[in-house]
Amino acid sequence: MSLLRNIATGLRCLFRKDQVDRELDEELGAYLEMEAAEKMRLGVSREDALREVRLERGSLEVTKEIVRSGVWESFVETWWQDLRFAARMLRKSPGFTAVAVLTLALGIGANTAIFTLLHASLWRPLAVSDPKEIFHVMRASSQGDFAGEFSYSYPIFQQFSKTASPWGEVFATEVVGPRKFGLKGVSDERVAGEAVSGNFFSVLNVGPIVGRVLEPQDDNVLGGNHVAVLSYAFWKRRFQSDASVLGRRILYEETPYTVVGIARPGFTGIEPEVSVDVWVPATPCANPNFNWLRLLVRLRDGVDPGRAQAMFETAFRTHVGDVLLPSASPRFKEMLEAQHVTVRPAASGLATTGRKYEKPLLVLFAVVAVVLLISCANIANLILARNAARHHEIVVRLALGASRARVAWQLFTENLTLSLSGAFVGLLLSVWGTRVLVSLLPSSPLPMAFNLQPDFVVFGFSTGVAVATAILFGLGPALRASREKLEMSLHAGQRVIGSAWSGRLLLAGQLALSLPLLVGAGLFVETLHNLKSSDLGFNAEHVMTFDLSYPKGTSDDRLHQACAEIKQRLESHRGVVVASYGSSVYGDGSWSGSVDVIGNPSPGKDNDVGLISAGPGFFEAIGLGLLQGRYLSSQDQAENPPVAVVNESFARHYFGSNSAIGQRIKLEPQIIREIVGVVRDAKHYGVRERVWRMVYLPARKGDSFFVRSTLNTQLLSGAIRADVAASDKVLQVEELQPLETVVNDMISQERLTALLSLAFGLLACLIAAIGLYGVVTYGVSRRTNEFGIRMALGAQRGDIRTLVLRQTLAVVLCGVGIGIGGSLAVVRLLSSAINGMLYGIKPTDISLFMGATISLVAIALLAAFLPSRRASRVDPMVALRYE
Amino acid sequence: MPDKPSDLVQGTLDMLILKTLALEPTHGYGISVRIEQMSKGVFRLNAGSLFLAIQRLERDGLIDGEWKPSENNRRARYYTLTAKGRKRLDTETREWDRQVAAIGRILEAS
Repeated sequence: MSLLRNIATGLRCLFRKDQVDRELDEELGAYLEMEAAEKMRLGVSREDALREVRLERGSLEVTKEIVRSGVWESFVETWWQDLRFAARMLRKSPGFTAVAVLTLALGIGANTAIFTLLHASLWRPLAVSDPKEIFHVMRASSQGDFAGEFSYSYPIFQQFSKTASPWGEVFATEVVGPRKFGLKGVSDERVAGEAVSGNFFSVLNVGPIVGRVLEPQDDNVLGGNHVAVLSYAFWKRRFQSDASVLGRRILYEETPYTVVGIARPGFTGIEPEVSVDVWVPATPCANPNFNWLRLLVRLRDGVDPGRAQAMFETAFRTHVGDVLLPSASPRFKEMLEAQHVTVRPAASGLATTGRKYEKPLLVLFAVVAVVLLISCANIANLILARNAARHHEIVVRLALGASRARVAWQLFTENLTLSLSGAFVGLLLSVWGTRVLVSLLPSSPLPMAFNLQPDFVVFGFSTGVAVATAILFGLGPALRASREKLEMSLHAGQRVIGSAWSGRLLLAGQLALSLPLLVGAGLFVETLHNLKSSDLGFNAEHVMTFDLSYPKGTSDDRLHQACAEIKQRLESHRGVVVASYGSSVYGDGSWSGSVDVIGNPSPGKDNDVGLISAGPGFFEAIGLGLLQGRYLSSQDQAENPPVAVVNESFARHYFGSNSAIGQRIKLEPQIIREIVGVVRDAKHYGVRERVWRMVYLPARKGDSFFVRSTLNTQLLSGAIRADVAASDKVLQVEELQPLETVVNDMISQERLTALLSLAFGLLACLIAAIGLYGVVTYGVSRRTNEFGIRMALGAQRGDIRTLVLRQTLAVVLCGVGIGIGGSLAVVRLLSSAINGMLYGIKPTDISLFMGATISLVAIALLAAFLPSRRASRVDPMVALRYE
Repeated sequence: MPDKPSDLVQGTLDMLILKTLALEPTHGYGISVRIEQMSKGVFRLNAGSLFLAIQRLERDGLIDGEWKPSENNRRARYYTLTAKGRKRLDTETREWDRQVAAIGRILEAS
């Protein structure tokens, strides 16, 4: 109550300052008047009375000041004055202001951009009620070949739901992806769609804006209710918010569904990077053991996630033991044994992309924080120099009675103004920077839908950073300036300025901080280089790839014919070397199986091999070299006799030094094949993965095409689309891109890290170099007099230059020395975290450390060379008259 | 001039002002004169500290100020004790008595 009253009165005083002042004047005036009247009654003259009163009670002005300063709003008022004064002072030196604001804007902007991305992809809570109760029930393995995250089958989902029913509710979603969608009986559109369990909306507590959302009974019906819910954004975009869409039949994955409702605005699913358009009920599929669902759980209040995890694990083990193990191959058994259930907080959703890039982004976050530190040191140096120049002003203010705290606070306000302006510009820059960052992520089949709008958290972050930087770069110089000694300072002439030492210290610190950034950038760039130049076994250059999409139930014969025709049409173009098809070269197109080598006397325990189907010309198209025998041809498609090509590892493992050609192997479904060729080892599962033993089987059709040509991308793309359309009307071209892009996307994390750490490392060096240049230049200009005397006493130009360079070199070496020590310590400390991000290089690589050190010293000396030359050109006569 | 006026015991000024106003509403000068009179010249208030205290008390809602014509035909701000102020005066006086008694006991015991 009294606090409210205090604030209200305070505000009244702030906004009606004149009236309040007048009243105070009048009241105090009346007071003095009354006292004087009293004295006059005793016979004192009016003049004397007033003088006496003033002597006894204090002067009117001082009294007014005392009374005014007793309330909180006076702080606001003073601060406002300080702010206006600061703005005036900064306007008076536009050069300094521009440099400082720009440096800060770059630093704060980079920090804000990376924070925004981390926030959007990992930290922003889902737009549902009580997101903290939601957990991801992850099925994952961390062991070698089997490492990764896996999905669940429908029966496991049902089992988990039963297990959790006393303390939580499990819900399921499939992986969101592009789905075929159509309105008029043709599936000619692609939408972001996911099948979810019937309780998905009720557990998340997301309601409809029109119609209804999916309900638990929707997936209870055998085969599921064919009903679909649209997202609000999709409804608005695709149907212009037309309510008549309710009850409309749509085609989703070539199956008719009825639209029953629109989810409430703002809900876009549980993955920050995807904005889901359509939800349909998830229903059991034909193969009960097919793994396709991701499971989440909303735990009731107070349930311990650890306990939930233990109970899920038990249920999982039971299911594996009862259902999966009896029929599992040895290798599959091993894989199942390695998998465990982990219950992980998912308040911000599944955050698949976010988790993938978490490590690189955190590393970059640290890097930009260091860059900001280096900029702070620069600005601190600038301010020290500036305060030295303003020395006279400060001293005059102190002499006129300003308290030291008052002067320090005023100077700090100036610095705060600087850093807040920097933060404002930085925030604008970060909006652009975040978009650049997202564009560096590999292209995905669905558009990235991160919510990158800066929100209160982002604003709070950049303001916080601004205040922190102001304290870092501004508090020291402000306090220092306020401690000026009065006695000697009012004398004109030679001034005592002690900023040289702190300037050098800051400089050494900057260089020390720059070195680890350079080393880190070197490590990541080298890693990227190693990955890029590592031998994949095939040659992705000049190869375009695309996928064929066709309606469900298209016959194999029709596809076989289409594939042959597309191949023929493409190869008829001048410039196309070879076109072929197969399962995809990279990632998910291959499958695995168990092999029996006929006549192998001692079969090992592990007979799993990777399998890839290959059309005629497949190896030629992807540039996979032949070692022995022959490639697959179109005659092999007839499977008469059945043949296969194996890779080097396979041949070495089973036949050692004997030739593999002519050997026979048995594969599911019990077909005996003769090996007709051996090709080089290729890394089909990623650059970092080990090479598997591979068997390539002849294919009559393939979902992925590979075209090796000398044509440019645009020309070839046009030809491909035209040829596919001409071959069969039902076929559609998808994911048309150079094979190199596919390869590069596999190392996108490394590319992101290398590119940005290099950019920021160089930026850090540049900032440090500018700082060095500034400090040395300033030092030289202050010592003009001294240089003049030295030269008058016989020093040569070269001597002066050496003097300056030698003194700078001492600072540089000192900084670099600390930097080397610091880098080694950081590398040691983080080696376990960093090692996983490196490839083909050790974090303590000697040549890299040397390279970074030498470049840094070179940059520093270059920055110091210009001012040292200026020092050597001082004219002794001019210098001696200087000041 | 009598003896040099003493400084007030810390924190007692508020209580004295409240006490003065409990007797009769008056203006700033009135308060200062009355405190001086009642203390027989021991306490002389500085205008700064007096008005600082008045301002604080008014903000806390312990006293109310009102412009009224003064004896010499000028406008002066007259202060009255509010109910809240009266209550505060009571508790402070009690507390003061308790402390004085306690200090007295300590000083007497030798």
